[in-house]
Amino acid sequence: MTTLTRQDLNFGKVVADILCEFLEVAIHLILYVREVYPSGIFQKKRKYNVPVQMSCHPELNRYIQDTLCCIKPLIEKNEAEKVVVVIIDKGHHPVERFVFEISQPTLLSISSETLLSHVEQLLRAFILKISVCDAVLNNNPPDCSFSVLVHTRDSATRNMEKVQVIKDFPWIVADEQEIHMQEPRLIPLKTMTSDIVKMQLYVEEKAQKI
Amino acid sequence: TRRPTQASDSDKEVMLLPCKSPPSRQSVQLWLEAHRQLRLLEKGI
Repeated sequence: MTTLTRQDLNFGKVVADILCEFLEVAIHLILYVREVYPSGIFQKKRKYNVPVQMSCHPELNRYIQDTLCCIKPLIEKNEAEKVVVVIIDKGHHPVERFVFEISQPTLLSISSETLLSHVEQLLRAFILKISVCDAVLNNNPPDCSFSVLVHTRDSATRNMEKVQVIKDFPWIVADEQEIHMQEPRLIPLKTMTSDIVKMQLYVEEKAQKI
Repeated sequence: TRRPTQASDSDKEVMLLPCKSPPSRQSVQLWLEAHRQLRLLEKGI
């Protein structure tokens, strides 16, 4: 067992790569399971050794990639506290929020030979939970859309600025009314604790969706 | 454990979201129908 700081082996970048790859799969799967887009645009693929549904729509895929590309520098510097996939009804009111709460240790105690396979196993469990979450959620109204929110600190936003300009993908501070949901029901889906990251996923669901 | 810079009271939490919207369900539906038509044409049906 070795103890490392975040600077050793550029561990922040490794964690950000792992998490963004996972979040990409998770976002595609949420959009499929919650029927935000027609099922015909999704194709079955294999990730984390389990079948998942991934979009083949170029514009949507680019949007998800650009979103994660902007979030990645925050995760790399341990400045993203939550990444939230919000399902929005046609009146632009949130009806569901999939909240990925991320916490990274400052000191890492790792055993490199088991590290990656262990993390992959833990992430697989998240994917499996998302794929069956429709069983515990109410149906969404028709014509929903989605957005991705990131909870960070004021000081951290400069880490995003350069990427925003390069990608021509600007971000803005969310208004309270854009994200407020009255008395949401909380549904815990999965928690993981590993040497490199702790993460929990829960869903906040609006009581009266329709 | 968060970095010390983040723990400061003056450094308030912010929630950010992309300025751009993802493609609408309707536009994706139209793309899907066009995609299917193209597939059929390619197969010569």
